[in-house]
Amino acid sequence: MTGATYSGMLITRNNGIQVASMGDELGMMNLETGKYYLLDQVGSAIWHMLKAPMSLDEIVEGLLEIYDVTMDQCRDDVSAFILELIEKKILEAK
Amino acid sequence: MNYQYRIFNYSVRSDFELTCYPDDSCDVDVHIQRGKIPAVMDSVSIDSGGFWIKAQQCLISIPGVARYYISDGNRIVIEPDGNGQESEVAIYLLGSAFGFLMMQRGEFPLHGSAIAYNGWGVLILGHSGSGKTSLAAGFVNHGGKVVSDDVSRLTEFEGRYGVFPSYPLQKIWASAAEALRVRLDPQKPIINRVDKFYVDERSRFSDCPVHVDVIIELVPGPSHSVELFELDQTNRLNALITHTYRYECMGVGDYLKGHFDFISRLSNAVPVYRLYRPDCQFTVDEQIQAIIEILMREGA
Repeated sequence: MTGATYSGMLITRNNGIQVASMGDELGMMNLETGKYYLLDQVGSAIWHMLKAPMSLDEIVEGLLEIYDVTMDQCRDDVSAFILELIEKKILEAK
Repeated sequence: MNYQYRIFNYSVRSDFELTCYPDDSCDVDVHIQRGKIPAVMDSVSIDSGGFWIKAQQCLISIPGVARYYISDGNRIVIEPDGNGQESEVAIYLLGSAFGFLMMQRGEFPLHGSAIAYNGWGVLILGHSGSGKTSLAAGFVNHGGKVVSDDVSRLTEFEGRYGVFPSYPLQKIWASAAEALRVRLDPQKPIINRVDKFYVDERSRFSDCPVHVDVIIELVPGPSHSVELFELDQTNRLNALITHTYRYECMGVGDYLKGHFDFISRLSNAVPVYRLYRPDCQFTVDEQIQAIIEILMREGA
């Protein structure tokens, strides 16, 4: 699966995730699997953006406002990252 | 005949005589009774060599020593094995049984020793055999006192995390005792553990709760020297999770959620360091010096 697969879909937070603010980072636990995660600054920014469902394009746009990177670089990195978060059931794609 | 003690700050009424702090309160939090208990429990959710858990019940079986049935966070029934020694019965009672009891009460005990030293409190976390007891005993040589030995019950007081006193007893390896110049009473060996002895000299222990200024994760390894360094967030969380007592028995659900809240808050509130110690040398004095330097820098 690639980022392209998700381009028509909305990305949302998984409800079964417990979060705790830990300095710049975001601690998380998946209540279903009992696994713990720590998201860095960028990952935390993405999580915070997703108060409501957003498309991949909207997420990329939001990050371009915060970080000084090219659109293509951002899109590639974000797609791969969102994919990983979906696999780990931290995010969902609808 | 029964006895009343304050163990991990619970008021306990016990059929067994224990090396614990005496108590005279009217309310009793935990009853420890001698009785018959079944050999097995059915419909359990966890079945792991020697113990079985379901809902608010836990059965521990230590062959040659005793069986323990812990229920509802307030009752421990013990059926000693006729051939065992009562002193050994106490080991698993004060460690494992109370650990499960705390979990039934919705608490998150940590696997570690707490010491009070020079107005500071240090919580030493580590797996069995990591050297927590030796390090805690070493602090006593420098004027410190042992607050808890093996399982630590955390609390919050005066806006900070602290550890409740457990009981005035340590189980020390003979070789460690020799290196630490701890006097061992040859009358108090732990039967079936040839090289381990009880140390219960009251002056070595403190019956007051202590604030936690630093948490030290003690890790034995192949290095040749003692190394102490602060952990980043990922490793802090890992350390606190790994050394949560019986972490593998937590299951999922509300208890797990509560655990996550607890360790994330603890991780934010207290600095966590990792201390690597050489596994083939006795380095307690060096470990203590390294920790004292940190305490002074943290400016507690």
